[in-house]
Amino acid sequence: MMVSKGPQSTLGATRRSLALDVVDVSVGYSGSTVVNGLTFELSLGDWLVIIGPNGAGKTTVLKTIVGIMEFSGELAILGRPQTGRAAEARTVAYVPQHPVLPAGMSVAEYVLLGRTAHLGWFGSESAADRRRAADVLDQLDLGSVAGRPVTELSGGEAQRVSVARALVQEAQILVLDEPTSSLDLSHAMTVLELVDELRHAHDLAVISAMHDLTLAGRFGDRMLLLSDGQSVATGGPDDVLNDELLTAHYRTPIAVIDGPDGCRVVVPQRVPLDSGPK
Amino acid sequence: MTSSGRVFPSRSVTGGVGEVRSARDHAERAFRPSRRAFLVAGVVLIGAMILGISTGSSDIGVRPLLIEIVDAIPGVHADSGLSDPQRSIIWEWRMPRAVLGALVGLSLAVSGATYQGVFQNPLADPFLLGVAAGAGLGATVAVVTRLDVGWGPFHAVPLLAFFGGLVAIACSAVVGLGASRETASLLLAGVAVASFLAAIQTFLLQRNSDVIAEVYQWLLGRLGTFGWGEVGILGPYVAVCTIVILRFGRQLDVLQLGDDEALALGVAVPRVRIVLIVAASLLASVAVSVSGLIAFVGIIVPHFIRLTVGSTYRTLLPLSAIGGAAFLVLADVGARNLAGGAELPIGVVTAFFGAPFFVAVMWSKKGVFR
Repeated sequence: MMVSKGPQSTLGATRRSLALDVVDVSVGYSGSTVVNGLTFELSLGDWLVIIGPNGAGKTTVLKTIVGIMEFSGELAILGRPQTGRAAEARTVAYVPQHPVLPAGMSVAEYVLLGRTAHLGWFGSESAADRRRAADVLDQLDLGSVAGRPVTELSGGEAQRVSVARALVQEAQILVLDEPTSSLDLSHAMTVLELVDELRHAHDLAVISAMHDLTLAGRFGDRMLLLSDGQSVATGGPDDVLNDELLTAHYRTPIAVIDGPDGCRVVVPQRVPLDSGPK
Repeated sequence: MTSSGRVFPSRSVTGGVGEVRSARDHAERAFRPSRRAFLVAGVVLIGAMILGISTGSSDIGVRPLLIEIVDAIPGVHADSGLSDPQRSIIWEWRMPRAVLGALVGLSLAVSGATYQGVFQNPLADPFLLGVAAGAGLGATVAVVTRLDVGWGPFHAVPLLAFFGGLVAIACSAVVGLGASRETASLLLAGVAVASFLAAIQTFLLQRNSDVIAEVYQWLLGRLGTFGWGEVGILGPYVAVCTIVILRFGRQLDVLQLGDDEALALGVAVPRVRIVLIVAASLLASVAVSVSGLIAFVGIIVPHFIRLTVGSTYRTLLPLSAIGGAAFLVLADVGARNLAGGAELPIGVVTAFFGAPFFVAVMWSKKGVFR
């Protein structure tokens, strides 16, 4: 059941370089352990989706990779241990689940904040920085809202704007926490297809937490099931998305069926509340 | 607000006037505050300075005043036709007073805007956070202990004021943010800290009744009895702190995204916070040690700029500097002329206009509690 790529994946067959090498990483808040002994690796060009029930530690894992959590263990990014904050921000870009959209800031200004780690001492943007932000805005079809205050955006626009801010960071690793949580299906697909396209175009490593398991399986080429802070299964969608594993760790009966073009469709079973154990 | 506030025609790729602008245009103008806003603020400041220097018990015409100033430029000679006593009034009294007013106003407005950004609290201000009370206590200690050591900017009075201001902001931040992240919590802690420090100050003054009159006059806020010496004390602090704060304007904008996102964007959040709090406290404390308690400048000026021009910190900070300077020079003109012959303490004037403005900010649609 445990399908691990193991160390041999870095030899021979795949010549792609390692984006993330996480070895025995544990994270705790005030005494209690939230993530326990997590080990996995991620190559450039790969998309790893972390799934798991609420409170499993998905967001904590992502924040640790972004470098904003204290942890024990080893975490190498592009083959190096973490260094200063700015260097980190040039390597790893982060889209939180609920990005803060400050009042009085335009979309273009918000997106330009993504260039912070690239700027010099006085922190003013060069023409190249502004061009970069404009290109990303156009790429994400945000040109028409570029001058609007970020507080006036619709949910879908806001999500794309926060992805745009992460993209202008020009980081090789993209960390997305529930990137589609507030989006309807069509907007969710747009954002995910876009990330997928960029990943292929720029050989990015993407790591995301997702609640929609069917969508997770459609986009992630690798998955990691997290339960109570521990990795309980890793591998491709076909390995991780199976009835017993999901039923055991989500603590509700779940069926996985085959959908169109070979994808896995995750269907929760109905359990009337009064029939369950007291 | 920033981008739509621009009035200069854009180099729009669509070519039309008032056409939809491209992402490139918006990226070009992002964080570039309106030149018109700077122009207006600059003109208002210069106008306020001229008004401040020319009005008073002995009115001096604007034209001779300007000629007099031109005459002071090395290598230029012009005859203003002013008498020697008039020239002395200009150079020895009113000019330093106007410059000092500008520096104090700048300091209070910039430190208010900085606190608002660092604490993400729109009502943060050197007075409401207790910094002014701390600085006041520090300066009072220097006065009652006759601690007349040091020179110029490094005199005991501004340094003790700074120390008092730092202790006060540390107490307010620890007490307020320790209790909750609510806007009101930090301000309530500031009120408590300010009352506590003011109580100590009153106690000290009761025990040293010989300096009560002197300190009390200073407490009300004054610019009058000073000359170029005080400008020399305040000037270096203002220059250094303002440069530091303006340099961190971008980081202040990033801080508005919250700690996690600011860290993820490469900002060393704790270090930036501490640098900005120390710089803002130094500015406010030294201003208070020179001019006494002049309230509300740190709230009125940044909020006026937020409402009229924009609220990214890279726009807000430099405009608050100019606007704060102009506001206090104008308030001083009011203090000298509103009550006929008698001069009002300038703190009375700023509070008279500031308190209603504070209420308006609380009640406005963009207000804190909406």
